[in-house]
Amino acid sequence: MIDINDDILLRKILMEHFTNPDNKGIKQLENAILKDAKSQTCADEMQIEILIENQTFKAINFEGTACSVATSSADIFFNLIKDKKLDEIKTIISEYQAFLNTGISNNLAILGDLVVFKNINKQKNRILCANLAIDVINEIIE
Amino acid sequence: MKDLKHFFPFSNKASNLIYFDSSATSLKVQEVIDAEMKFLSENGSNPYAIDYKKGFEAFELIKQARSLSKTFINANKIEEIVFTSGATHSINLLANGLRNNLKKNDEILLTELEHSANLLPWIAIANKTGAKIKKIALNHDFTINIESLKQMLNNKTKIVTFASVSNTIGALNDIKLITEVIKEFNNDIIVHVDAAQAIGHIKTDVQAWNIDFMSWSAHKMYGPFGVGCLYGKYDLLNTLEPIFYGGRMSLKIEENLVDYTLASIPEKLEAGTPNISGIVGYIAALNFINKIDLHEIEKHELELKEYFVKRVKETNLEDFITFYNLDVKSPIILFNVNGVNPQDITNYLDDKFNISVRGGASCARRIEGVINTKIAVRASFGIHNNKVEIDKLVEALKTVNNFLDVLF
Repeated sequence: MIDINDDILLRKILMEHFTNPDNKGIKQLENAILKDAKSQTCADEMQIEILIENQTFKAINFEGTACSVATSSADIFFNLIKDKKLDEIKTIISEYQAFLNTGISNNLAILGDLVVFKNINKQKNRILCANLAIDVINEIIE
Repeated sequence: MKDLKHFFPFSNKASNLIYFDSSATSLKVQEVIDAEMKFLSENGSNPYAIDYKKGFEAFELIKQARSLSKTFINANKIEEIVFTSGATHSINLLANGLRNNLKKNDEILLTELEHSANLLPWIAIANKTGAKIKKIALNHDFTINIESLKQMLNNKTKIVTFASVSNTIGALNDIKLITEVIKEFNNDIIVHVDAAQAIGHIKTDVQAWNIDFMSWSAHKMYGPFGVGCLYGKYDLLNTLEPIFYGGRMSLKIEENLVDYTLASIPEKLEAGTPNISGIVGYIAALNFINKIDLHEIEKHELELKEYFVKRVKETNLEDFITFYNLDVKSPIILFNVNGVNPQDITNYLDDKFNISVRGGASCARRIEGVINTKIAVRASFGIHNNKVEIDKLVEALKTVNNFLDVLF
């Protein structure tokens, strides 16, 4: 588990997912669904490609233009939920959204690299960015 | 450079905040706040209740606001000023008011720099009537290309609508020349100018420009929110179909509940009780601008722009920031920090330096057709700003690569 107090490391993780996202690029996978994540409050917009098999997220890709918080949260989250079952993902989302609002979690391990957003609660307007892609996944699960 | 900051209570009360978003709305001057408060606390009557003193006083204030507006834009008659809730309302009133004059394949010309208020109402009315929207080409300095305009004019052209100053790039169009070209081709083509971004900064003169309609908002001229005007040449304004029906705009409703007689303009287009307290604040805003003088305002803002440009060059900010409109003579700066999303920059400037600027598309949804990017950071200067604040912006911009500092 990464050290949530190691700001230099957290910053590096966020920056890498922003500048060089692992899941960037729509692959036009067979049977995948395409969803748009478009912010109502700013110019952030993404297209997300999702392949679900046997109640499991097998692949998630995205492209679009968004800020560092929206881009990195999407990329980290997609890495985290890959090969996980829908109910497991539901638990992660619930923990993550509570964490965004408070910066506190009793289950940091489940959040993985999403802990880089520990201070988003001090930037209330950026909570929307940190949820942009996650909201789309949440809608699918629900 | 004159010190004009003390007119703005925002700057006194929030002295550590630097407001660079005058293009979205200007800060409010004390006179405006006082006038609105005075009316609400000492009067508050409906301006159409003229049977008693306070109601009549309110009625007279509307006349005064119309008269001041007429002089301010050099209209011909006070009836040519219609009160609305702002430029967006004005343009909707105009576009929808022309609905019976538009038919299939008629053409409406506009530019890709228009903000949503001067785009969507025209697109919507075009879709309803079968009229077509056509884009006028722009010059390298983002002004309207006259030769392209000349080529586009034909017997289907019904309306040409454009901003005097765009809210993103800030390019200032030669309205007189543009209108001359249009009217020479066909005097019946309607010319509408969206003056929202210009009216508090440069002199507007509807007669010298020979334009048919003009729209603006009080909140971009140090005045209140929720008040604006539509100017129209008397005969043309008279042809507009109302979009709102209600109190004060009809003279008679027949017993058959089918027929009615509408009041004459401007009341015909002003259904319902107006934002009278806002209109009183707007009077104060007009008086304030007249007191400071528009030339002084324009001079102050251009000095700020020139100073910013000078500081940009001195500090080599262009090495890592793309500026789109340094050469344009208006107090708006549009830029992107290379490789960084505008929202990261606006958030950083706000959080670390208390500097308010905007990021994103700034309501000009088609700007990508002009500067090859959908989104950018916009800093717009106003008369409450000074060179010290420009220096602070420049210093802040030098450090933008630390934008993640807002999170760690």
